Amino acid sequence: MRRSDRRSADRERRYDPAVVSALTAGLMLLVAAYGIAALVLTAMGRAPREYLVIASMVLSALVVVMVAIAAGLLVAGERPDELGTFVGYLVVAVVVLPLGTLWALTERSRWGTGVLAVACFTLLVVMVRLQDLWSTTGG
Amino acid sequence: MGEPRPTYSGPGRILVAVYAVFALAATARAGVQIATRFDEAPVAYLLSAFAAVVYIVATIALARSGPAARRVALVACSVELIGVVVVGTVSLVMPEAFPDETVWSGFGRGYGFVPLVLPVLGLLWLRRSAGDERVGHRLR
Repeated sequence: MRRSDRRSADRERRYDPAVVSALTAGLMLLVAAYGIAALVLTAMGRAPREYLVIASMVLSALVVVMVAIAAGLLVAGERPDELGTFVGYLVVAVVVLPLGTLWALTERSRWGTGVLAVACFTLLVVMVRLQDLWSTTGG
Repeated sequence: MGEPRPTYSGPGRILVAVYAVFALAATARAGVQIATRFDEAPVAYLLSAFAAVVYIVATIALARSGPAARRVALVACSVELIGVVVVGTVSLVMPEAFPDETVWSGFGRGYGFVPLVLPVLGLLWLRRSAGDERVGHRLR
């Protein structure tokens, strides 16, 4: 794309794509860190503790913020590839960690912690897919 | 060996979680394929839908306790293993038979080969968690 085209495309947008992708990347790092921590704790044989549950709730809240931003951009007229798939991924992104945490808490053993890791890595895959679909938006 | 333990306990928790993810992923994928472009590859998309049903049944059966649920889980995991091996082989030998991907294409390549490993782990876990169930039935 020529520079002048890019400028005019940016001017039409009401947000800075770089900021949104930086925020998403930051959140993905947090989710990955949590997933790795859960994996290590599983290997160490630790049952899910309170701090892990609180961290999962904080991450879930941040995901809700991210999804709200994406939803807002959709309403504002942004169109990613495969809109239906994109919206489906947004819904999954919101529910996967809370549901995984509930399922984890009913098993007070290392396997509960393992479920948290599974939920986290699923969320990560969903976020990567969302990024893929979004990166082609707006041209 | 000992009493049978529920398939959703211990390591089974993780198994059920992963199955649930695949049930959701396969259902969503089949749903989108059938809703948006069914005419392009009806066989592949019907197969996607079939795989989705198998994952849903396996998830529910593994998440429940009792001999009936265990039998259903056994059938679902077996069908899943056969499905992934057959579809995986056919998709490599005759790629033209599958113009579009399914969960089981290329032995689950698009999903990090998890679809190939999952039924094996499921069957191993069903066996492992069964304990002395058969003996128990005889005694009762």
